Amino acid sequence: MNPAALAFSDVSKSFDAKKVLANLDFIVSKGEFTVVLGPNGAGKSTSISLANGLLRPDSGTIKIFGHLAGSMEARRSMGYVPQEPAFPAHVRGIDLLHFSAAHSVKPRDIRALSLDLEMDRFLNLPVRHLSGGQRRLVSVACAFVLDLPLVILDEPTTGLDVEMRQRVWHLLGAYRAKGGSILMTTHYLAEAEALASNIVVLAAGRVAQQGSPAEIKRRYGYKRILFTSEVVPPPTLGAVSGGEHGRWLVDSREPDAALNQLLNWGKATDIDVAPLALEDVFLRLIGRPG
Amino acid sequence: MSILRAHVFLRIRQLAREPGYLASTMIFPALFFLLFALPNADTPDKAKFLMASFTAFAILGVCLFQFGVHQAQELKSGWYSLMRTLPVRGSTLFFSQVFNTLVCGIAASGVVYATVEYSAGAEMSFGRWCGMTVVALIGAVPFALSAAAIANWVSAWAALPVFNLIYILASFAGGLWMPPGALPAKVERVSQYLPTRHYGEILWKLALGQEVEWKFVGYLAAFGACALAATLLSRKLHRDSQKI
Repeated sequence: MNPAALAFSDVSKSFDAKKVLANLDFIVSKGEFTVVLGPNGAGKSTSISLANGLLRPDSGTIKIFGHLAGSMEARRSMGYVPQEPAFPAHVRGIDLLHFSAAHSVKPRDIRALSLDLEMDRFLNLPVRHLSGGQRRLVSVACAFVLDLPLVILDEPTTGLDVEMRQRVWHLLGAYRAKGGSILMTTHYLAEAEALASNIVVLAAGRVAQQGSPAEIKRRYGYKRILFTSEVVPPPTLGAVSGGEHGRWLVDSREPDAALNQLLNWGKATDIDVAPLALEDVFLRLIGRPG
Repeated sequence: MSILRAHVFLRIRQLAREPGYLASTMIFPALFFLLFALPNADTPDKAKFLMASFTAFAILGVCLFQFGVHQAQELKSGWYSLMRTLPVRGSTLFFSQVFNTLVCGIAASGVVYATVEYSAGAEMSFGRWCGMTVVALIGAVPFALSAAAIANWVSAWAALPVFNLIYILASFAGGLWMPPGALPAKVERVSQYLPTRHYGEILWKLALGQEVEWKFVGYLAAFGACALAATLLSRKLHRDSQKI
């Protein structure tokens, strides 16, 4: 059986007495785009640092294409984009790309990559003269120039303007179309929903939910019912919120029953039923309903 | 080999574009000689003695800055972590740093040689200077190791002042600025236990064409062994204590 691009098996990690990850289990299959979501402190960056071998798990194993994370074989299979690009200030972006490319047997063409990311106008500047977004693009390019089968990205689009973000999305899409596997963390739910084939939601160091965005929304089971009413709806409907301009909403796990009840009540008009957005599901999964 | 070359070139580019670093490590020792030691270099032997002192001072500075300040800044900035995710062996990272230290050390030593020869007429042959510089570079290994150990514990901001303080105090008390006999009595007593003093003793003997006493070599080797143990221990503790 072909090993997964990345596999976390029963991984736990503590710092001092604080357990950051508990029995984490998930895989990134070959060619899959997995996004790890979670609130701050959920263990996303720790998972990334374990995957790229910068940290060692207290228990469990992490394997990249069947090799232990951090081993030379594993590092020969992955590129990494850190949350904060930390380059020597006096070195130019182009020097960093050549430096990174030297670590790959068959690197990508630097010129083509810089054109893809529209970086050519600032690549000859020292890093200290680049904006935060430009540094982040250099960081992304340094990982992709290696042209390895797995890329691990820790919040790569944070701080990028819309144009830069779209260029990175395009690069990620093209890489995946060529069969590349991706593990990424992000705080942008819309980004996760648009790009990911698989989402892992972490809450308090555990996997709260995983699957495709559609699966997660479906499995979560809630639907949102929106309606208009001049009077306050009965509490039997569940946790009803809103009320401004007579517009109310209720998120229900049994939408059919709630809808029947609403119709029987007879004072609701303009009734709409819609699946919850990923953002709403996410907030509920981490225990903070919106 | 191409990976090692890439690391060496990047480090060279990094240093070449950092004039502050180049000025302080390349020019400072020679300038210090001109300002404070030149009046005492009134005979060729005294000039040779001071050339050895300031060669030691120059190479010590390169080691403390490369393995201390730079390493502390790399460790804390995340650059070192990023390099560790690349398919590169720890030995490659180490040897690229050693190579650059050698290049900078030889250059700094060369500036001292040229300055002392030109300004004081030390009359030291180029061959002897080369031999002394090689010994000075080998003798600096314990200092590089101890700097690497300390680098794991100081913050990026504190690294420069901490290593400057160590550099100045160890150089002064070790007799690298003025001969040990000219040091204040209390400092001279402490000096006898300092590795910089033993380092200096080896180079002074070489510069004057005298036989090196093995006790100085032994003391420096023992200091090197302790520094190596401290480096390995601090690396392990640093890695274990990393919090993300």
